Parts: sequence; structure tokens; C-alpha cells
Amino acid sequence: MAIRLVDERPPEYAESTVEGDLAMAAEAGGLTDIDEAHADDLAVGVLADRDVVQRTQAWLADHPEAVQR
Amino acid sequence: MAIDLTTRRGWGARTSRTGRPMGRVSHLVVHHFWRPDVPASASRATERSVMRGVEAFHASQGWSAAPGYQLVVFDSGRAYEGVGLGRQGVHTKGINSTSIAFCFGNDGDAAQPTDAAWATAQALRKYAVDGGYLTPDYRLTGHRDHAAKSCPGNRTYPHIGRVRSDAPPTDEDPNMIDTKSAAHRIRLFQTVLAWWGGQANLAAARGLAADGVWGKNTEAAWQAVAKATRFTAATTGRVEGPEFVALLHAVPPEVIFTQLAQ
Repeated sequence: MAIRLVDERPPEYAESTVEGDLAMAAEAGGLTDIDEAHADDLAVGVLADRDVVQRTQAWLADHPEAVQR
Repeated sequence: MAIDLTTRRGWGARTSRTGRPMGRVSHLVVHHFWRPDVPASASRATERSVMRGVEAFHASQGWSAAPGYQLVVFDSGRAYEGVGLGRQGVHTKGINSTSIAFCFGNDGDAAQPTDAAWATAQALRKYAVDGGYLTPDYRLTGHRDHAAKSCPGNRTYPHIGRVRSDAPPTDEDPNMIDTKSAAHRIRLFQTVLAWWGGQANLAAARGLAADGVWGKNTEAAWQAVAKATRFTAATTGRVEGPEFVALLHAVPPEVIFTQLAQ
């Protein structure tokens, strides 16, 4: 089976927001509580995109019910 | 027929391409989202939005890769680049630097992926091998084989061998196991027999090694458990139907997860 790469910016790219995308994931059932089963020392690093991280943390603080356990 | 693999640019990733460069590895781990659980009917726009939401959530954990999986496959049969092949992900503690992860974007405890999703996973596995990201003799496991979790879900785990198969997908009967079953299923059954051996103090089953091979020890353990539980065990090398289901369901899930994680 052939694989077709889709590599064009999506049409909603300019209008989408971190908060809107988190809400979409929440609407689809939530976000899985992440625990130590995933990350090890080598997998924890520094992302350059602090704005994404800060906006996500702020959204999660307002929507704790979105994180499912 | 072609399947769509949408790149990070294609779904609108906000974080820079992350994860350390990684050479060819010999291990493929299967996961599920659990939450969110994205239906097969979801639009491309919804799938892209979910990808960005999961990306943001994983980034907020301080991970070096977001999303943490190399590739994500939704029930629609469409695939999305996570951190991408050739980059170290964040998915399975202890083996992140030596494995790649395919994640189904569904709830594998409620249902196994659609046939379209399985077919896509098979194609991506071939793509990974042919592209030099995964050795041809790779090891295939589920996340639960490495951590006390249900991931990739109770309905999906018995079928993860479908990722390996080039043949048309077949729906292996989850209520039957025999000497020709996949190694991971025999391991599960051996774990069940060992638990029964401990409960009923059966020397032939207690401490049975979960090595994935149905040999004479496994057969002896099954016969002992069958006798103790008054199951028939009339046919050697095969367990099916209500007896198999009853054996499995009697064992607390945490016992299975703990033993498989060892």
C-alpha cells in the first residue's frame, strides 16, 4: 500500500489556537493523565516553545476535568 | 490505494521538530490514546486539531518530544507524524532511545482499531523497515509489556500481531489460544497459568516462565490447571471458548500487568 505524504499547511492553521485545540481533544474524551510510564531521564528536555507550554498550563488550570485518569 | 501520512507541517504542529536524532532501532511498541478517543467518522480537521491538542499537552509535561509517539493512526485509517521516525520519542520509560512507537488514536479498552487503522499500521511498519528506521527482525510489544498499564487496551493488545502481518488482516479469535498463537498471547496465557498455579498450589503451573513458547512445561501447566478447575483439557495444545474466557477473567488485571512488566 502506497503512502502519500500530506505536507501543506492546513487551512485552519492561522486561526487555530492552543486553547481551541485542547478543547477539541477534551470534547473527544479528554487528555490522558501522563505518568512515569512514558518518560525517562533522556526524554525530558527543554522545548523552545514556551508560549505553547504556558498557554497549555493555564488552560489546564481552568479545565482540570479534561485530564482523565 | 494510498494512505495519507500527514506531516507535522501538514497538521500544523506548533512546537519545533523535537526529539534527539535516532538511528535504526529494533523494537516497535504499540500504544493507544485512550483519551481522546477519536471516532472513524472524524473529519481531517478534527484529527489535526486533536493532534495539536495532544502536542500541547505533551509539551506541557516538559518532554523533549511532542507528541511523544513517532506516528499516530486514527480509526479513519489516516496517519499523522508525531515526533516522527528517526527521532527519539517519549512513550515507554526505559526504552525511548531504542524503540519507536505507533499510537492508535482510540480507546483500545473499548474496541480494537478499525481494519483501516490496522492496514495503515501495517503499511507504516513496512515503511519504517524499508526506510531503515526499524530492523527487519524487530521486536513487537505493547506498552503494557513494559509498564503496569492496560495500554494499548484490553481489546487491542491480543491483536497487535496485525501490525506485523503483510497478509490481509484476520481477526484472531480472542477466546482461543493454541500452540500456533502469537508469542505475546502465549505469554499472557502462561502468566494466567502461573497465577492459577499459585492459587491452587499446583507444582506444574506455579512459577511457569512466560517465555511465549508453548512447550511441554506449558502443556503440563495447562493440564494441571484444567484438572484443578475441572475444565476438560481434552485437546492438548488448544484452549478455547468459555473455559479460556473463565481462566482469563478470574485473574486480577493488576496481576497480569505486573507479571508482564517483569
